[in-house]
Amino acid sequence: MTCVYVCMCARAAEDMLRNMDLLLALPQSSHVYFGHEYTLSNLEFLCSLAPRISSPPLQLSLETYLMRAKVLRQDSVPTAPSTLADEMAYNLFVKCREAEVQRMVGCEGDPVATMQALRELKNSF
Amino acid sequence: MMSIVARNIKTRFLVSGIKLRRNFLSAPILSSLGCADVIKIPLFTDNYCYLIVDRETKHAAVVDPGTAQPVIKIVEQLQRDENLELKAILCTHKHHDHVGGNAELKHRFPTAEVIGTGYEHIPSIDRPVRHGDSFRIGSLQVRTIFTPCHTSGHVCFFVTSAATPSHFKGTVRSGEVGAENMAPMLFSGDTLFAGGCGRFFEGTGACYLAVRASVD
Repeated sequence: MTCVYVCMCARAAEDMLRNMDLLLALPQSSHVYFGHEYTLSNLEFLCSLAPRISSPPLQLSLETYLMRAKVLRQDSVPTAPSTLADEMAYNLFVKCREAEVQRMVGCEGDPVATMQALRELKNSF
Repeated sequence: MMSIVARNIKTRFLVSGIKLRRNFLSAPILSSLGCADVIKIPLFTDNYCYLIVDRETKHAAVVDPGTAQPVIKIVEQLQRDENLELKAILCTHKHHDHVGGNAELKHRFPTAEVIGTGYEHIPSIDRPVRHGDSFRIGSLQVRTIFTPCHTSGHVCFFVTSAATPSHFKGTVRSGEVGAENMAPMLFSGDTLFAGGCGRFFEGTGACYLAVRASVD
């Protein structure tokens, strides 16, 4: 049963990885209108992974976007739309093919496992 | 340069925002950043429903109306003030907080077509759409992108105007859309969030293989 469960989770991660590939092939200038105001909690989760980040630009991106989200939400301003360019800068879920992100979750060379690991960490955050 | 619709909407909602209910967001807010005007309508505790308005024709589409009344209120106001016409109700996936308003909206606006994912059941559906299918809202082109996982049938909608070609495939360069207020727009439902992605409620990998075969 455990093997089936792990297999299904990995296949779901394959689906989401492929979704991100498709969406990130669109123009970077595209505005992204998403279905829920989860941005602040999403960024708080991403920033909780900060000890694992070795690249200063990524760390700075996360801190910048977190600050921006806090400012917007203080006045109940929607964080939508984002842009694909923004998401590519800091959203780890769209960066699963990058070696640095794979290293962060101990899945170097495996973008599917990286996506799965990130999702599991988020689920239990 | 802001359209007439945009100027009037902006003033009205900034004023009326004071009176509306206390919620995670006090009032619908207009965005004129991209190739169409978009009114962001907060629903429930943290949902967004969006009203896309084509500046050229005043044809409009609502995306993921989890409940109808807030949408009806805004559309009726814009019908009176701007001759707006609601042409479509777009649904990214089957979850009730995204489709709960379909039936009531159709009853109130009988000429609006429910266009939604053809991969799972959508209430009051008129036109199921699949990966690669496209349709128009006024002068806007809308392209369907199949993104299963959060639900087995989830789709996203990619919107361009006649002035911005649909770069559905091909290389991506930053700044390729040169004109202000012409950027394309992606309605990503519960697949892609700012800083996150949707939960994997129904991903199986089988969907990936089927679509890859059809796209290749």
